[in-house]
Amino acid sequence: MRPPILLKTILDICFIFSAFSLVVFLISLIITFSTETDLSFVSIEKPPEDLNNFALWGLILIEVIKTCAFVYGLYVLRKLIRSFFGNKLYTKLQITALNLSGRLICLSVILGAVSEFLKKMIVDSRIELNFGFEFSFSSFWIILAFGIFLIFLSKVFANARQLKQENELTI
Amino acid sequence: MGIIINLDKILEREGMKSNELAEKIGITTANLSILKTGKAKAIRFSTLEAICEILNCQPGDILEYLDEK
Repeated sequence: MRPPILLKTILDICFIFSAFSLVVFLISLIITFSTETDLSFVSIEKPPEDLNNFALWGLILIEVIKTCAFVYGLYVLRKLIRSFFGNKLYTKLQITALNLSGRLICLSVILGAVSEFLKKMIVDSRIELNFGFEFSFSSFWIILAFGIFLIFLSKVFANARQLKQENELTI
Repeated sequence: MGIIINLDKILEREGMKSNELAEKIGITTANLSILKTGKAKAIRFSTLEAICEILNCQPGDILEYLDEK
């Protein structure tokens, strides 16, 4: 089987850009926290006067956890793709990596939805749930489905590993 | 395990060594060791047939069911 070089390259690029944006975000957060400047970088153009700072930091924390989960998910996916280069299939590492990356992607997308909901509630003072189906690959449902698919794929790999072991132990 | 492999006893009876049998039936000594130690998950009919032919025995002589209760 040929190694998935293109997939590895795409994931490498995605990981580098995501990790870079996370680092920039964390640095700007630290600078803001240490210099006590405004929180305009979290895309709040006009923060209300009576805005609770605690709620805003909570929102930022959710954003940080969401981004960290996504970046770590990408990192695990990269490790998974690299493991395919050794021509070894159905290893424990691959099963664990598929499961973990799926869970992290699901967590990231769910936290993203929670963050959007809280942002509208805290900043705009209105409650809005938006789970509409968008015709793009950044849609909530498509990313959630992708995460669940990875978890399911890990179960398929676990089953395949058992069958492979049985096949190898058939004399 | 419910199924016991009596290959050691038959090999002793026939005065044959494991590596000799492995060579004759065309499997590796490592695989024969897996079979002898009961770690194997399954045995092919072709392997069983070859063992029976070389050791001049019946499948029942090699495989034995032991009630664990």
